[in-house]
Amino acid sequence: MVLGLDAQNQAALLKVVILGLISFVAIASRLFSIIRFESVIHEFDPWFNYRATKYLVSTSFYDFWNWFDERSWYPLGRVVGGTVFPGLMVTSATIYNILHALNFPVDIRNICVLLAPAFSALTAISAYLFTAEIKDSSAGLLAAAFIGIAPGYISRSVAGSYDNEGIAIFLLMFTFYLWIKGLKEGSAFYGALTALFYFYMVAAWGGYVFIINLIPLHAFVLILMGRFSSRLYVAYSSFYVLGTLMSMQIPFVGFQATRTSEHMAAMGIFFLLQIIAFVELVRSHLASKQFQILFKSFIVLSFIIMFSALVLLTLGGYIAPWTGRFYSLWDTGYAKKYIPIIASVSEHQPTAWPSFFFDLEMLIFLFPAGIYLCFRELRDEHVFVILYGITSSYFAGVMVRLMLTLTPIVCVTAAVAVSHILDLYLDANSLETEESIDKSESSNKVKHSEKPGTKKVKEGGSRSSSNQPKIKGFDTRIIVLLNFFFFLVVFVWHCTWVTSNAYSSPSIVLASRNNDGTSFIIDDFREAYYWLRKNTDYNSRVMSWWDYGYQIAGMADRTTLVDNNTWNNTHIATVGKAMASSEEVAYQIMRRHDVNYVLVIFGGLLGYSGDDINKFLWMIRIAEGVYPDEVKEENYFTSRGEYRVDDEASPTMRNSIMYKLSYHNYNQLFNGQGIDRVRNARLPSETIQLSTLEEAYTTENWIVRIYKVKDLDNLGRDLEQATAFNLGKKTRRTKKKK
Amino acid sequence: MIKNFVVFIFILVSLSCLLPSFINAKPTLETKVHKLNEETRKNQGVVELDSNLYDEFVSAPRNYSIAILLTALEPQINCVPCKEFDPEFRLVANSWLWSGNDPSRLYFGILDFKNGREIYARLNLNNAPTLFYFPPTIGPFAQKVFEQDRYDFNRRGFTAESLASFLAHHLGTEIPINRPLNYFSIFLSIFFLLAGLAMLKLMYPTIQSIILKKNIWTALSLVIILMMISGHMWNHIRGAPYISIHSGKVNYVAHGYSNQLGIESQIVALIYGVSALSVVSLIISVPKIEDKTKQRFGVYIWMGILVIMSSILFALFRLKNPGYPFRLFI
Repeated sequence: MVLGLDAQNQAALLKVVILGLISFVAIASRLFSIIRFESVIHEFDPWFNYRATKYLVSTSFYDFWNWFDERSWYPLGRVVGGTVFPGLMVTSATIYNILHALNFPVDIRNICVLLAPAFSALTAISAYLFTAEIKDSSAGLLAAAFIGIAPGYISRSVAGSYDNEGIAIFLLMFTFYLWIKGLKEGSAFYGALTALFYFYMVAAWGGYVFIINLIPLHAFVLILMGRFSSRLYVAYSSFYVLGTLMSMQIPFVGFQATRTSEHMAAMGIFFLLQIIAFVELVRSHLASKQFQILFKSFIVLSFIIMFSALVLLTLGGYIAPWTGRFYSLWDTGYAKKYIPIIASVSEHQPTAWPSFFFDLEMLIFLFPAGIYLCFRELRDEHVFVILYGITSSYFAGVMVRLMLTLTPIVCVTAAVAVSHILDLYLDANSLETEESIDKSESSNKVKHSEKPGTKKVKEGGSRSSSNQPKIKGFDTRIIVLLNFFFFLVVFVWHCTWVTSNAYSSPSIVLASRNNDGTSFIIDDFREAYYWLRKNTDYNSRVMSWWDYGYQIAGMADRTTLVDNNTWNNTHIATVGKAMASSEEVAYQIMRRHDVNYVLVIFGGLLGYSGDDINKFLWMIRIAEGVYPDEVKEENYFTSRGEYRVDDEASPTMRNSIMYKLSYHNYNQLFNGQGIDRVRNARLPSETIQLSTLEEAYTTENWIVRIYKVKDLDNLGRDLEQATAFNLGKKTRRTKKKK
Repeated sequence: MIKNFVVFIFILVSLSCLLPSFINAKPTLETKVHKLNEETRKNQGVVELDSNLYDEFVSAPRNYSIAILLTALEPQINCVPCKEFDPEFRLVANSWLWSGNDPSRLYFGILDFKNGREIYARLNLNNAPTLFYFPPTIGPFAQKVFEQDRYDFNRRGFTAESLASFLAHHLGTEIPINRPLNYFSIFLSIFFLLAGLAMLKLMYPTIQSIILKKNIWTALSLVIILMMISGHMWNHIRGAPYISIHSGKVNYVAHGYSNQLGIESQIVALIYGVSALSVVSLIISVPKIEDKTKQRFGVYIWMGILVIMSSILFALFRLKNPGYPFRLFI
């Protein structure tokens, strides 16, 4: 008796304490970036989410719903309310309003920065609940600890990474937990809760499609296995009907939920379940065997009819086929051929094996072991885990970013495997010398030594009976436990190392090390955006490649032509064409789009490889997709098919404004020929003349270069002549001075 | 007598065919078009060229477009893409004939290396196949650009559809590709389908017992998962080589963090599989051993395997990512 509690209550208290500690660790390990840099929004998309949240907080929900953003996609604008997943913004705004109602004057930025870590704690708790349904609560605690620190999840949820995925993984796990719970108990209440959290997920992330296909798949496989039950019927029907109705309330989804192929599987399974339930009902009243055969063929027939109806409706155009983004998951060559804008994003590339190991470490080989253990028991919920494991490992293999959906199930199955080991080798009931084992465990393992004991109380003595397989030798127990303890410790080291080194960079502030080891902060992006904010007119239009659209809108508060939303491929291609063409052509495009400033990212001085010259080929490709006559990819390569920037660069390449803007005045910095440190190239020696643009600002490390688009010439000459004239005059004057 | 007469006619005809190219240094547009039409009709839309004909048809003025494939089909040259592309090119030519457009707008020529060494030498061509499109210089379809356009095989690909879209872009009219139905393969697949169904019917009890076996499903799922988590999709999408041979040395591991070889991912899958197996054995088979010494032996063996496998894994990962700080024995 400790604290006056009996064993069961002690266990409950311990669980709460351990979960609290896991939540704390999950949050704490995501704070590297705040400690190293500051509380700042990261990367690209988060800047839009942040801007939208600010808008939501400063106006009302209905204003947000109807928000037409005229400061992006100039001159088209963007209907934000109808094209956004509002779950993230509404969540932070709700937290903001609650805190302010309680008189905590917290800045909205800090809420946004800390939202993802806070939700990771909730994810850990829902992983606990989910795994507790699969095996038991000790496995649940392990799963919570794993997902709390697994780099695969941390990569998308560090402080400042204010993106949909941050809350979506929690919703994913919690929806799945509720589904398992509803299926186990056949409860319409849990089915409705599943639908409710599914709705939240729909509001938060496009990945909800995974849920609406995985749950029907689970139901379908259960039917095939002959496990149809009224529990399945109740849980699925309540989930599907409510979930679909609610998901249709999100404007971005709307009638897609009944009209696109992504949602058809769910609908088909729903109808199938109704038919089977009807047949089961009739069969329970009829006994004859002939009727059974009749009904079985009735089911098969209706399945075939439904499937062919689906095909016909798709062909007839009533049901939209799979959208490109999802279709490219099946036909992996599709995106590269038809949607370069999807293929150009680095997180849409396939995953090589080191990434799996990097993101999951030892969990990755415990994953198959856990799946095998699930096959041994194979209750309904284990079927779910297996299906989830297979599908998500495929998706993670096809796209790096979907590693995120794989991580939770890997944590769950690995926890099942490890907790089996611990159950077996820590089993206190079959021990002769109990105290010596306790010593060999360190603090984070104490929890496991407690739980097998308590579980035995609950489950009765069935496991600890003498004929149960068990480990007899004491030394073998020690060696296995020590080994796994060591594995767990290395896992923690690995996760911390990965988080600290790979996933905690805000990417708008870069850090490098000087030769003496001191760190050196490169803050060029914010410097440039702040310059724009302070030195340009509020209504000026800034042209840049789409990657930087959200940042310009968020940090510089200036109108952009294209941004990371990428809804209008033609507009992006126009910008790409402007960047890829010569000054005269580009000038016309820029005049037509009222561009005042052009912003390019140049990493040549510092060796920053993510710059625009390296992205240039994608600009050309995307532009060529829309303007095949004016932009041709092969013209940007040398005759030997190389992509170069030095003396051998093709004339088209050298005439493109992207090239000129990147290297303008760069030679002067070196007093001769400049050296590009990203591409290891020596630049051509002639100076680059600009006639239609002039340099407005270049940041400290030359990463961001801003150019002003000149107005038309006062004397009606074209700008090239005017520049030549001015240059000529200047040289003459200097001569006179001599 | 009759035989002689036929021979005589034949000689006359062939002479009359050859004459223009000997006599007229500059053939008129009409003769060119006439000849092209003749050849096209005879040869299902394709004109076989040699060096002289090439110069003749390419020279201005042209009131037609012509797409010329410079290829090398001789077996000793062994140009695999040429052989692959040849039927596709002929398919496009044939489709053009049946497309309902005026066939005299666009002609298709093939110049084989054996007939056109001079052209290859003059154009400084080192690789085949090469495809040029020559736009018309006069006539209603003439455009500002008279220069030929080279078809980029690497980027556009070797299918008839991609060539058709390239040409359609130049002509401003679509060329629908009609792939001839391969009746034999359709028949074959129907046959196999029926045979399969019959097999299914006959062997249903056996198949049923296989389908209902849990072990089979377990093995299948584990194989799929192991393939996926060891980067099989990357190999599939990127077309990774199985092994790379670099200056006589066989490499099993590719350089670079986001790069891999076919065998590399198989090695990794094997490591994962063996590690998972040892974990499963520690959980399932070892505790079942009744004898205490044997059990101890089993635990040590499986634990040893697990440790060895994970140290190999760490070492392998350090090869890929030299900055990785952790290691286990190796």
